[in-house]
Amino acid sequence: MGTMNARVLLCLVLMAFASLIAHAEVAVQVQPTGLTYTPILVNGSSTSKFDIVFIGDGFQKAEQIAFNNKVNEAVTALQNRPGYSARMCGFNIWRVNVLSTDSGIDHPKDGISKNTELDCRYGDPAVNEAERCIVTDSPAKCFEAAANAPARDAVFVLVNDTQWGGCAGDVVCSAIADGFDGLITHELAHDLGKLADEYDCYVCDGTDDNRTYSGGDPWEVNITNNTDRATTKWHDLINMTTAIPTTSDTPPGVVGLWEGGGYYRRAIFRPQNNCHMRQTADPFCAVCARKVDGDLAIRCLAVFDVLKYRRFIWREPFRIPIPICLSCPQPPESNPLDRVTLKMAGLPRDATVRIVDSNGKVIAEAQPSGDGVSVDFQSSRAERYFAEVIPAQSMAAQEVTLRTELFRNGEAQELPVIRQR
Amino acid sequence: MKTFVWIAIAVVFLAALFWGCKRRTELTLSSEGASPGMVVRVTAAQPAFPDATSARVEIGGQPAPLAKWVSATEVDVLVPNVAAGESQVKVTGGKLSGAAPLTVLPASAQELVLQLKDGRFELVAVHPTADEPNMVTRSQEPQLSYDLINAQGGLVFTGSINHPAQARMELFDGPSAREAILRREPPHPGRPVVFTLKVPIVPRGATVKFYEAAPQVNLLDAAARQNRKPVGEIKLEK
Repeated sequence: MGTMNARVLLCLVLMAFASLIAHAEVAVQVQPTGLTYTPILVNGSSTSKFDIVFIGDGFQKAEQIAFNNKVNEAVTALQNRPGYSARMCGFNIWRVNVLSTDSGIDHPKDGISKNTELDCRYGDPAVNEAERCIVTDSPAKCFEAAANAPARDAVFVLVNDTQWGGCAGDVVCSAIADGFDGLITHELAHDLGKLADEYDCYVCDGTDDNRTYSGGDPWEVNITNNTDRATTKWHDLINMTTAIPTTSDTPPGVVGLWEGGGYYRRAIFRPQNNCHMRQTADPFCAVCARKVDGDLAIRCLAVFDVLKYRRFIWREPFRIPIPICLSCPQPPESNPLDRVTLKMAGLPRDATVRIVDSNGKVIAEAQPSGDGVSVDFQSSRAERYFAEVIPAQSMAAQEVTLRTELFRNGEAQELPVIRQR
Repeated sequence: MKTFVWIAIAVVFLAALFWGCKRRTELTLSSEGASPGMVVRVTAAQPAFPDATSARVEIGGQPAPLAKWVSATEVDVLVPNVAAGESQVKVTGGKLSGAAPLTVLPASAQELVLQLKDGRFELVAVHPTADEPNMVTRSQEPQLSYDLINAQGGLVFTGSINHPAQARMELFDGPSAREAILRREPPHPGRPVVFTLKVPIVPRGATVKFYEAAPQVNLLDAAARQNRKPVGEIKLEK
């Protein structure tokens, strides 16, 4: 009986220990500031900025400077790549220093096994994985590490290995080989600009190199099956003398309709012969650069919380997120549209208020008259909306007391009120 | 033992003297309230922020990341992820100190860390976030659509992501970056399927319902939404 009790006790202790391991915190370096992350580039509210988090795996404590340098390289690559370079104001970039026991990561093919904090490894060809596909076997740990940063729209795991490779799923894992920054800037263009890949095959193992596209016009801005010069997606960038389809790249960089892209070789077209979305060593084509630049531009405006009353010094254009209705009773069968009215009082008469969606598309616009401004628009449950408040060009900084009201389907929606002190 | 006690008392006394000697400055804030992740401009009556590296601001006891050093008297800081309610903004660096009240508003969104195991969705962790919820995307990969349903059964928000268990990964193959071969790699069987989803916070609790949808389907379309295949749900606590 005593032995039995001892066994049960041992079992319980082991289970408790296992549970502790399962929920163990990722080993993260605390910075001299007291923070568990390092702000690399902070431009403003995470609500509007695109927040990038870099974490590392296979970097020991003494190797953290090497990790920091690689993060800086990636940031420099962003700053130097047209498309991103003029709109760095749209990013917040954070770094989390994860401490690994061993240096480097696993190479199953070569029988190399390392004890690293995020369990990253190269692919194992023995089980039909591509060797260069770097993945983590503990994605939850990656998310836990990244959660140290204040916000995260994209998480990049840089692994301490110089053999080229990387794989992008929920987290993006990349080696720190020469040119790794191209992987970062390519993946960001998917996340941020929703750009399509422009290469011609999908699996690219020789079985699908010559496929013909047969669907409708893809929704991404950088591939199309529309060969009408006047209506194709990037028609404004195509010179009238450029042949359609386009086969001549003289001088280099001709914008036209180049066949191949979106994983198909035929009956689908891309804007330029070479583009970062086709081959990471190349710069963005004009269409992709314009899309990324535009998506970042709308993230550059200042953002404030919506409050019922706000007193502030108004210096520059700003956005307020239109709150989502948390108690709307409509059934979810479809994607219902709400009738929304935004009222703002206290703005100068020459200001402009416009409602934009998350892509920056203007849905409605109005200027104050009389007591204030009232803007009506329809709101989808699948979209986020912002009120952009734009001052007249001549406006000097001035104190404004802004009173905001929001009505959804005729009913007033409660807005936060700050208790007066 | 007594010696140690006296040393400790002396240290505490000296520390109190040091902090007490710090000159105080009046602080004003650009906003009386802000939610985590938002920017607040802190203006000191006297030069409290000699440069960007020595500016130290705390909100609710946590360091507030510096967004912009404007001048020796003005900085923009981000509200850290602290609990909603009455809080204090404190200037702690340099030779000046000061404090001002700030109402921290509740975060509007949360990041759910989810695991998909044996066809079941499990909540692994929840983090407040200032980020936007995941909106409807379209891609050439299978999609995982979600509806956030409030306690009254109403649709609060709907969005989608690439299906974490079915979508292929993008592989950066080839011998080097210059000769990189980009292609798609199937999901690796046996690896844990963990993913994140950002959804609005619903104060009285909510349900997240998951659906599978085909690649390229426009999930803003009512018919496409009705054709989604329900695959599970999770409850979010109040």
